[in-house]
This record gives sequence, C-alpha cells and structure tokens, in this order.
Amino acid sequence: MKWGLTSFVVAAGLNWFGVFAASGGVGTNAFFNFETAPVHPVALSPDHSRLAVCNLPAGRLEIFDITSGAPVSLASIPVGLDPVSVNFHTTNELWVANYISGSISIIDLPSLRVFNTITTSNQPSDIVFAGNPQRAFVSCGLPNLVQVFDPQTFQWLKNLDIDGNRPRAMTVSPDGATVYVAIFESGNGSTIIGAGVAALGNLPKPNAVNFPAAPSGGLNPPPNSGANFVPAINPALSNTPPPRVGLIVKKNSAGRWMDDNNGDWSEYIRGTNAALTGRIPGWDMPDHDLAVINATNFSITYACGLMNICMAVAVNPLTGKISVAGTDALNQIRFQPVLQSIFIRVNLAQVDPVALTNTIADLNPHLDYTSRQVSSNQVMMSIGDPRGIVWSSDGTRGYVTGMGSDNLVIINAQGARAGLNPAINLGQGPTGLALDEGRNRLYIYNRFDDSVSTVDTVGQTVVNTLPLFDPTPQVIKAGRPHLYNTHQTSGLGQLSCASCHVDGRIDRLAWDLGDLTDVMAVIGTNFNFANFPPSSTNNFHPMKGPMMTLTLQDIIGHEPFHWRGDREGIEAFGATFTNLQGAPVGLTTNQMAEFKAFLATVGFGPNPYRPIDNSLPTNLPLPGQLALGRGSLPAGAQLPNGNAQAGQSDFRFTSPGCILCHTLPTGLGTDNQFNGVKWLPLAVSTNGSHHAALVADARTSKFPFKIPSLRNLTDKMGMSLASTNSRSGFGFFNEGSVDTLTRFLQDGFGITDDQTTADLIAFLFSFTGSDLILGSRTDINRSPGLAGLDTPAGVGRQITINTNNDAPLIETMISLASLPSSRIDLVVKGMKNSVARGWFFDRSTRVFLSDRQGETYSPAALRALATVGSEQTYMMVPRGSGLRMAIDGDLDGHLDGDLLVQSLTGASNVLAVSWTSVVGLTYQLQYKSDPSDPAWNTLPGGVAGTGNTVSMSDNSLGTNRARYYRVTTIEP
Amino acid sequence: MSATPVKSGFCFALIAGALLVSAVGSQAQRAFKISISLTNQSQVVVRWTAQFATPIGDLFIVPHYQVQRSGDLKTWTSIGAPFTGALLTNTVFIDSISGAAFYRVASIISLEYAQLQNAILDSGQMAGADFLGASLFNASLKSAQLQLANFSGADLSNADLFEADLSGASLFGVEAANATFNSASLQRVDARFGDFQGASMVRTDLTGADLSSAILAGASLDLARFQGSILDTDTVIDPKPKLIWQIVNQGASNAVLTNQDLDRSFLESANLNGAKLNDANLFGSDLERADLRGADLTRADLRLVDFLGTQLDTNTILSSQTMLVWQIRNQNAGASANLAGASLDNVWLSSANLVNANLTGANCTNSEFFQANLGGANCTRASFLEADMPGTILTNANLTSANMTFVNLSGANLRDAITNGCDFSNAIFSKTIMPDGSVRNF
Repeated sequence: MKWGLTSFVVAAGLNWFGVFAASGGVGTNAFFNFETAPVHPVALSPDHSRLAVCNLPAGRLEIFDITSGAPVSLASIPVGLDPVSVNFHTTNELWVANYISGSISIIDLPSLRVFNTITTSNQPSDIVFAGNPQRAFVSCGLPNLVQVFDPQTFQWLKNLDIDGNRPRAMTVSPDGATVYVAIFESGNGSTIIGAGVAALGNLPKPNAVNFPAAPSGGLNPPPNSGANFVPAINPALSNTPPPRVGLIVKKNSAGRWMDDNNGDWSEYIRGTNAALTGRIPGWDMPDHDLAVINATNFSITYACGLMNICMAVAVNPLTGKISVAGTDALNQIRFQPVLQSIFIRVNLAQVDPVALTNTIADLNPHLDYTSRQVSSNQVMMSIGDPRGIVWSSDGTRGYVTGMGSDNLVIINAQGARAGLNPAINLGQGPTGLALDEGRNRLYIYNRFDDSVSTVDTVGQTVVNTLPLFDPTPQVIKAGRPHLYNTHQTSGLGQLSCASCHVDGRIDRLAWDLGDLTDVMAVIGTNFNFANFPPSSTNNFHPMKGPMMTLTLQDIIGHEPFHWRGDREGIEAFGATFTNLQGAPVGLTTNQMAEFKAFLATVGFGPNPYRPIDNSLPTNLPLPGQLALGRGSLPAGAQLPNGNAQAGQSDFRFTSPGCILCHTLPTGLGTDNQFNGVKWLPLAVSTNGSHHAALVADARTSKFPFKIPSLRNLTDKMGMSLASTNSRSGFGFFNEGSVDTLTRFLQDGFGITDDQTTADLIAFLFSFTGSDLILGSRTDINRSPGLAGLDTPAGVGRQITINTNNDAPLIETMISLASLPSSRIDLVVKGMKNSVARGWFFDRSTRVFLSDRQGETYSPAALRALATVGSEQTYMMVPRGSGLRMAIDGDLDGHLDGDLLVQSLTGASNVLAVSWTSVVGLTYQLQYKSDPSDPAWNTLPGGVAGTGNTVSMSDNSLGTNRARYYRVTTIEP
Repeated sequence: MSATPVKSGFCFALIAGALLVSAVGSQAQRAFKISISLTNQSQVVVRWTAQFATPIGDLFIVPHYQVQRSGDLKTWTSIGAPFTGALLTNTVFIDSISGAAFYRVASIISLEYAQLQNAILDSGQMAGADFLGASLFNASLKSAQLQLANFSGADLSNADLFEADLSGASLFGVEAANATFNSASLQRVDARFGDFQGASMVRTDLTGADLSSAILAGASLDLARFQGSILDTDTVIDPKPKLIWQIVNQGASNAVLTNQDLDRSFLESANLNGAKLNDANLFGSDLERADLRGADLTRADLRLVDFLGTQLDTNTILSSQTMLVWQIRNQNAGASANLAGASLDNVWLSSANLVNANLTGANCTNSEFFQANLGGANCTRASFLEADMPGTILTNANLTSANMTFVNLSGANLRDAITNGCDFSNAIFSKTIMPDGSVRNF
C-alpha cells in the first residue's frame, strides 16, 4: 500500500458551500451521435446482488450493488462504442454488446475490469447463453445473423443466418434449450405494386394499378372507399389529375393480398399474373417476426405475422409463451387525413412456443382509434415505442417500458393492463428493465436522460432515479423528445415521428401520406435543378402516392426534404405534428429549432464493408446479390466479388456517369449551379437550409424528385421479386418497388455486365464513410457535393491485450491515428496496478497521454504494462472524441485520473465532500483546522472508487466553524 | 389433318380411328406425323416422333405433348398429363378404350416465367407458345414463328425479333424497351400496357394491334403499318407516328399537312384526298393505293415514294418527274418508252416494266429497281449509281459505258447484256447471272 500523491485541498465552513465543477454534457464536436437504441441494457446477476446497466452514451457498463434495494454504484467500466446489451454469463462474468464497435466486452466482475474483447459481425445487439453445452448467442444486424460463441474459450463457432431484417432482442426458453430472436425490422406483410425503375430517360414502366382488369379497375389512384374517395378530393384539384402511383397491399389472415378498398390483388402478387407486378407465381413474404433457434442443433423456425417493429422479447414463465412487444404500422391505408393519429398500434404478441401461433393484444386498450385526439389523461395512459419487457416469475405480471411515452405499464398474462395506476411515469426514454422480485424492485434504464429508475413493485411507484455519467451534449437532450416523445407529439399518445423514423432511421415501409384535401404546392425559385433545368416542371400534387420512409440520419444541411424535395427545410414539417400525428399543437419555433439542432447531430456509423483504413474494398463478397441473367451469369447466380474502387470509377466516368446527379460523398445532388465556367454555391436560405438539387426525369414523368442520398442502401436490402420467400415487401426507389440493387442498376441504367454490376454494388455498399473522390468546381459533369456526417470505417474497432506481444492491429491503429489528417483518435482503457486507467494517443508527439496530468507513455512502454489482470483495450473513436473517452470524461480540463473535488455540502454539523473517483483506488478524507499545521487528520473509513463521483462526510465538526480538507488516495 | 396453330396455344394433329394421317410441313421442326394402331380390342397405340421447336445450334425447346380423345370430333378430353418425348425418338402412347374414338396430339410449349436471357431462338416454330412472365432479355428470336404466343408480362427488352411473326400474340404488359421488331408482324397483337420505348419497329406490321396504354416513346416506327391499330389517350407515342396513325386510320381528307415531316411513312390506302402536302417530307414513304386526288404535293419530297395504285386526278399537283414515275408504275408507260436523258434518280420503280426502254444517258442514281424488268433496255451512259437492283432483269440490256458503281445486283440477271465500258466498281454481286451465263457471288 502506498499513499497516492494526488490530492486536492479545499476549505470549507458551515456557513459556506461551494460547487467546484458541474458534470454533464460535452460539446457536439467531442460526441458523435449515432442515435443507437439500447436492446437489453440492464441485467441482474444470478445471485441478484448486482445490477449491470449499459451506459450507452458514455460507452461504459455501470455496476451497482442492489442488496439494499437501491442501486449503489460499484464501478463504471469503459467498454466499447454504444453498448446496448449486457448479460451475465456467470455471477462473476459479464458480456456486453457494443453496437458500433462490433464487439463483445468480457468483464470480470470481482476485479471490475474488461479482460477480453471479442470481435463480432456488424451491429451486435444482444447476447444470451443457452444450450447444452452452453453457447453464447449474439444477434447481429448487418448481415442478418446470430453468431455462436463458446463462452469458455470465447471462440467463434458459427453463424446462423436469420431470414429477417435486423435480428435484435433475444431471450431464452425457461429450459435453456431454445433461443428466441425478435426481428426488429421484420415488416408487416405489406408490399408495393409499383412501376419499378425505368431506364434513365425512359418513361415509367407499366404499372398494374393501371390495368383495367385489376381490382383498381384501372383507376389510378384508385378510390379508397367503394367508388369514392374519403375524404373527398379537394375541388381545387379537379383540373389537376393526381400522378399515377403505386399501391400498397397487405396480406390478410387468409393469405389474400388486399388493398385498403378491399381489392384483392392476390392474382397479381402471387398468382399466374404475378409477372404483371414483376413477381413470380407463388411470390410470398413470410413476414418472419421471431426466430426460434434450437440451441443444440441450431435449427431455426419462425413465428410470423406479429407486427412491423419487434422491439422487445421475453418468455412468460407461467404460460411459456414468448411475448414480443413492438409496433405495427397501418401503412396499407392511404392518405394523411385517414391516417391521422391512428397509423401506429403498440402491440404485445404472445407466441405459442410449439405451434408458433400467436395472439395479439393492443397495449393501449383505452384507445378506440375513432377519435383523433383524446384527453390529456388518456394520452398519459398511452404507451409508445415499447422497448423493454419482463415477466414476474409466476407469469402473472408483465412490465413493459415505453421509450417514447416515458412510462411503464403493467400487464397481466393476457396482455391486459393490470397496474394500480394507468401507467408509471419514469425518466426520459425508458428501455431495458430487470426485476428483483425478492426485494420488490424493478430497475429501468432511461436512455434519453441516462439514468436508472427504481420502481417499488408493490407500491408501483418510482422510489429512486439515479443519473449516470452522461456526456450527451445538451443540444441532443433538448431536441430528442421532439422525435420520440409520443405523449407530446401525438393526439393519442402512442406515436411520434420515431414510430416510422425508428431510432432516427427507417421502418422499411412505404406510406401513402398524400392529402387529398390539400392543394397544389408550387415549385418556387428556391428549388435547385442544377444543370438539369427541366423542360417543364409539374408542381407538387398533394396526392403523391407511396413513398419509402427516409432516414433522418444527416439530413440537416441537406435540404430540401422528402423524396420529392417538396419541403424546403425541417421548419416545413410543423404541420406534420398536428395533421398526421394528431398533436393538439405543433412545435413552437424554439422547439423546432431544438429539433433541428438535435437532428444535426445524427450521423452514419462506420461502414462495415470498408477496411479499417476506410479505403474502398477491392474484393468485396456480395452474398445474396444475384445476377439477372443479362450478362454472362445465369439468372439467380451469385454475382462475383465487387471491386468498389473500380465501382467508384464507373460511378464517376461511365457515360453519362452516376456522378452527374449523385455527387460525392453523399450521393445527394449538388447545391451549386453552373454558371458556364464553374459551379457556384447557392446561398443558404434564411433558416439555413441548403438546396440539394432536384431532377425532373422522364422516368418520373417529369415530376421533380430530389436526387437521393445513397448512404443507407444496405438498410433497404431484402426484397426479392423473384423469390417465394421475400424478406421484405419494399426495396429501393421512392416507392420501394425495385427489389435489388442489381435490378436497379440494370433496369435503371442499362448495365448488363455482371462484373460491372458487382463493382458498382460494392461501391454503393461502401458509400458511407466519405474519403471519396470529390467533384470539381470547374467540371460540369462532376459537380461538388455537400459534405457528409459520417465516420471512418475503423471507428469503434477494439482489441484487448494482456501481453506485450506483437499486435499488428495496434500498430495499424497507431499508424492511422498518427496521420495529421486522420479522422480517428486512438484511446486505451485498462488497468494498471489494478487501477482503472485511460490513455489518449497524441498524434503530434506520438505518445500516449495518461489520465494523470503530465504522465506520458510511448506506445511500446504502454504496451509493456499489459499483463493478465492489467489488460489494455485499444479503441478507435471519431476524431475529437478521444480525449473525452480516454482521459477527461467531462472535458473539464481535470483529467479522470486526477482528483477533482466536485462539491461541499453541509447541514447540522455534517459536511460532505464529493469527488470524481477511479475504479481500483481507495480514498480517504483528511482535514486540519489550521492551514499552517503540517499534520493532517484522517477521518475514519474510506471509500472505494467507482469511476463516478463518490463522497465522504465529516461528522466530527462539533463546534469547529472552519476546517481544511483534502482527499487522498491509497494505491494498491 | 395438318398441324394447325390455334388460339389455345395447341398445335393439333388429328387421326380418326385406325387411319394414319400424316402431319404436313416437313420443313417445320415442330410438325410431326402420328400413327395409330390397335393392339387388341381394347388398346389403341398412338405413335409420333418428338420434335424440337428451334433449329439445331440454338437453344433447344422441346414441346410437351398432350393426347386428347374425342368421340364426336367436337368434345375433346385430355388423356393423362402433358409429357415430353425423347427428342427425335418414337413416342408411344397407349390408350385403353372400347369403341371407336378420334385422337389428336397437341404440341405445347409452356415457358411461363422461363429464364431465357440471351437465348438464341431464331426461326423457332413457337406458335402458341406461352412465355408469360418469361425473361427474354437480349434474346434472339429472328424470323421466329410466334403466332398467338403469350408474352404477357414478359421481358423482351433488347430482344431481337426481326421478321418474327407474332400475329395475334399477347404482348399485354410486355417489357420490350429497346427491342427490335423490324419487319416483324405484330398484326392483331394485344399490346396494351406494353413498354416499347426505344424499340426498333421499322416496317413492323401493327395492323389491328391494340396499343392502348402502350408506351412507344422513342420507338423507331419508320414504315410501320398502323392500319386498324388501336391507340388510346394513354398511349404514349411520338408526334410523327401518331400523325401517321391518324392519317391511316382516321383519314386526312383536305388536311393541311404543309411542311409536315412524314418521311418513311406507311400510308397505303390512306385517304389524302385534297390534302395540302406542299413542302411535306414524304421521302421513302409508301403511298400505294393512297387517295391523292386533289392533293397538293408542290415541292413535297417524294423521293423513293411508292406510288403503285395511288389514286391521282387532274387536280393533283405534283412534279413532272413524279408523274412520270406514277405513269411507269401504274400505266405501263415504261415499256419501250423513250426515256433518254430522263431524271429518274431517287425514285421507286420496283417491279416496273421498262422492257426495251431507251434510257440512254438517263439519271437513275439511287433509285429502287427491285425485280424491275429492263430487258433489252438501252442504258448506254445511264447512271445507276447506288441504285438498288436485286432481282432486276437486265437480259440483253445495253449497258455500254453505264455507271453501275455501288449497285446492288444480288439475284439480278444480266444474261447477254452488253457491258462494254460499264463501270461495276463496288457493285454487289450475289447469285448474279452474268452476261456469259455464269453466276457471280462476289
């Protein structure tokens, strides 16, 4: 034992209290927001003595002692980027899924340290342990699979392909023999009848909706109520026919594909005439919602027809049924006035574990969906965006959290509301939860205010809310509720913008949100057609037809919005809150500004297809990307590996060149106009909106469309018109009627060569990440583009070492971080002498700065410290965030390893001193009454560091009116 | 009874009782002979040789066969399921029945949703074939027999159907962008909602075709036949072919078509009575049997226009050269005529009778003489530069010092022609009978 050298001296008296530093958010330049959602962020230890919580924004796992019935912090352990799930492998070992890092952090609980990191496939989302021999199952979102690991050796064993989009939340059967995987973006059995994509310059292809023999009778758009439109079309539109558009149909319980006017399109979807919608006979979309994995032989079956977004899953111990909570979309119903307030249901599906049949209960039974607004009391009863579910051990009570409604509801075994109160209000964004029945406690992680709520399950009241260390910038916290909060932004309290823009992204559906009561919107001079001035422009008709939900990632500064570009900026969406979501009032000007500022932080994560150095891959496998038989490969054959670098060249140079419209690095149109000599940027609007270009092409019948971003194409994969087992009902293009990128490229641009197609697909897969060959101010064919908010491919990459052996990955990390233009920082977290420490790589001096002032290590010296028990985890993070993540968590200038007294508070002759702490250190509080006295008096006891703020109290003041204090550490 | 394509897509061969009836058309791969015999009182044996519908070297398409039985030649019952015979081997079908019956065997090509991208099916005998939803992207179907075939919802984009016969076929909702239908017959096709953008449909016969809601934007429709074809308000077609369609089907009597671009139009039998066609461009158009009585063709471009059977009257205004051509075509004014020094350049004289005509020094540059008869004609010093003369009779013609450079003489007959000083530079000889009776092929 030795006395630490670090200490801080403060003076205090009972008549004086001071706050020395404030914790809280950091600046947005030090925090990159992916808007990741937790999955299973809370776990109880098998002995119910410990609670583990993923502190997502901080990239930490919080450990609490809950033996008292209230969470007492034991440690805050750095893990990877965006930890979303945690599970106990054993009482002493925890696994944490780091969504952005693509890794699993393995934690030794007694020593409160990460001792191993497993690299996974992309987007690891949840972890469960099951089977005999026991295996670890990790769900991954891209590609869609569950990875199986040996939890003893940490070795990867195999991948299980999941036939669904984004397998996410998991749970295990009571006997441990079956793993259940909720498929997050599962679809809802709806699909599109559309025109696909015509060749550039061609008119739209024939659309079956126009066929006289079709259920529509050839009317396009067809009426939605018998022979009529309800509500009636605005007479002001009588001279302006609406555009002919696609139609959304949905499979009913009898397996028939129906539109919203009871038209039966089965013959065109799966029958002999399926070709007329581009499909094959027998085409089907099973709508897999829940994968059921035999944990021993890994066979997989599916439960179908539950809902669109399967968010949370748990098994009812009483019934054995698998409960899936989530939302279902009514996107087969057309028109905004019809859909107002009611387009989302919050459901609980209960699936029989053997027959896989299901019953579905509406978690908002107080809503009848006839009224478009209900009383505030009823709104507060509603639950929205359900992200967590847990059952009592007797299966009679279930607890479901509403991330959008900031509440918790209690249900009975049938899914009916059963709580003493309509709902229990929690912190912002409650997600995962864990039930400690022995102590009548329920612990919930509140994602948005980064806190843990403790609920007394007997009284059904919140007894404690414990804030976690949260580096989230205030601008995010202020604006985020406008996206998610269902109570504030809807008429019934169950939906919000995020109901379709799920987690700021998409729901993989198309919606026909046309408003037949509206009027034409005029294309003003603010719209930019760059060097494609249309020969004629049609104004925006309010009956716009089905449009795929667009992501909200990196939209600010990339205006205008919507597929058509008919909204000049986010400010134009004020009416959406009332007209579509049914909120009594829209956002105020200030709230809209908050919303905008928040959205401006939401960016794209690292590209999983690029190498760690963010270059474009030259030999990228493209599993599932199939030939159409137009080149040398037969139809249905696997495309060859793609060379994204060659694809970039094709993108830029093949006549006419994709880049003519899709500028780099985002794919959006330029916000410049060519003056005959060079491209000149257009002035931003008064609200700061840009003018990304629109184009009015023949294939859109000259209707203007915004040139879309190409950065989330991989989020739209899954549809196949040539399969009887299509994973999605929607694909690419504005209606989602183009099923594959191969078809998009070959139908849309006349490409037939298989290798060229593969190269371009590889490039499109690799689009996010910037570092592409940009346009030029003087090249009329390759205009400059708007910058993108994304991160390099290496961001989040981790490696944990426990020896000083060569680690080529670390050398690569250092090399990449050393570049002056590097877009990444390199951080190291780990243990030194059993004390949690952090190091930040300083590229200017090429040394690691430690979390203690003035202490540096060369890369070799730092690695030399790595031993078993003193593991080091290296991680690449976005440039600008490294200092925060490594050595100065709150960026207050006081390093994490140095002591910083946070506050002095006192009352009734008791004075409390609080300070930041480090795991592994023990602290003591000392005092003296006379500053000239060389001796310090040590107060009895000590406190162990947690990584968070800790405190000690002085109860010995007596009549003393002033004392001097210092905090000292005892290093092991 | 012969094998006859019928609308159902079947190709029938019929035999009655124990009589052997041969299928006809030995040149057609798909036709076949069937025989019938009795093995005992209760078994009938039907035999035929399984054929293939496409020539050797191309993608083999072997039909399925369906045996049908009838007691009255009216009601037919299928016996068993369709099956495929072994190629070019004897197929035997045994039926157990008591009493007399008629039998027929249907040849069925069912390729619904087939993946036939880039397939070569040239000259295939595929009448009545079912290609519903098939992908025939970039397939070659040149000269294929596809009468009554079903291409509904099929992908024919980039396919080549040159000279194919699709009479009565269904092209409903077909994807045929950039396909080639040159000289193909699309008579009476159901092409509603078909996509023919950018297709090449030169000389395509669209007689009676239903093109309602079809997209023909950008299609090349030179000399396409629109008689009786149906367009509706949703048909997307370029203005020029739309005008031609209107002229052909709705008449253009007294219409003002001044300066109108109508080149390479198929205006056979069109009613242009009294039409104002001054300065119109009718280059290369077909005006056979068109009614041009009273029409004003002042300064109209009438090069290479076919006037066979065209109706003129004294009120028709046209140039003297055009009148001469019309007279040669319609009034036999060319035989033994003195056309010395005449300007007959860029005119259409296909099948014209110019026997023993005096064409000394005539200018026949770039004109069409397909199968025309110039036997014994005096063509001394006449210029036929770049003229088209396939199958033209030039026996005993005097071609002394004539200019025959770049002339297509494929199949022409120059037996005993005088060719002293005649310039045949770059002329095309193919199966051409030369003055000495030899046949030249280069």
